[in-house]
Amino acid sequence: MTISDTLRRQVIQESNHRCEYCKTPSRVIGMPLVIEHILPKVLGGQDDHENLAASCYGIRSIVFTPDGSQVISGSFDQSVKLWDVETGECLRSIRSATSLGRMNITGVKGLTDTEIAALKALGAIAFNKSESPADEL
Amino acid sequence: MTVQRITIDLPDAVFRALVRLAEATDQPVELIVTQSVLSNLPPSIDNAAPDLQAELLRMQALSNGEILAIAQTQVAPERSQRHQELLARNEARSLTSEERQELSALRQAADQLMLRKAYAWSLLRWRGQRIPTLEELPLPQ
Repeated sequence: MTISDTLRRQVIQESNHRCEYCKTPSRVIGMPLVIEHILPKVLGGQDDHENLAASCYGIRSIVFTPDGSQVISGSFDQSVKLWDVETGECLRSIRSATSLGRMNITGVKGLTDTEIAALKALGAIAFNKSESPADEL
Repeated sequence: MTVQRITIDLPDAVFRALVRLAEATDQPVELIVTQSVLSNLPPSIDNAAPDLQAELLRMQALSNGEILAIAQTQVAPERSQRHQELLARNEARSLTSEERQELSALRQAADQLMLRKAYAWSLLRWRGQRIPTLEELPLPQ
């Protein structure tokens, strides 16, 4: 099943043309919003209306751990979840930003400075960024 | 707070308007001038990434029309479509390492474009130009 243009337009319309994560209007981004799965497809997320969110280009709602066995997902309900890829089991779910402390995420590549700064601010990275290349934790 | 003193030339009409306001509000004209400057400082580049600062500074020398063109820039449709395609495939984890680099470059380019657009609007506002409301801006297609 793929996402129809009608559903795509409906989700974007319902977002009021703002990224549902960071709330930035697409009118100031200069690029259309993209449709993203709240529960990632690799974890069984469907193309249903309720599992779709309009997002700006900057949001990557899922990051795989280096060994590929786990996925960290971010959702616009402000929860961050850690999933087991094999079983689809949610290993950990955090809602409060301050509770991210001591998650001690490491070994993730391809992050922007903003994402790294956000994770640091949320306490999810324990060490100083200067210890690793710019886009790597 | 340390202060510096400079001498500036003002058009006669502006000076008279400032003096009238100073007299009407019983304040020194110097204070009115200082307040006018403090409330309309040029947009700062200090918070921008170092590699973008020089480009933002160069925008100061452009005409209003040139700055408006930057403010209204949209990501080219074919580039935007490619970006969306890579994002979707990234979600399905089917990107090659080259495509991952391409996605990273597209994301960085989009970040920088958004910053340039925002700075362009702030420059136009600083120059006293009317800034459109959000609803007046076109929706990217």
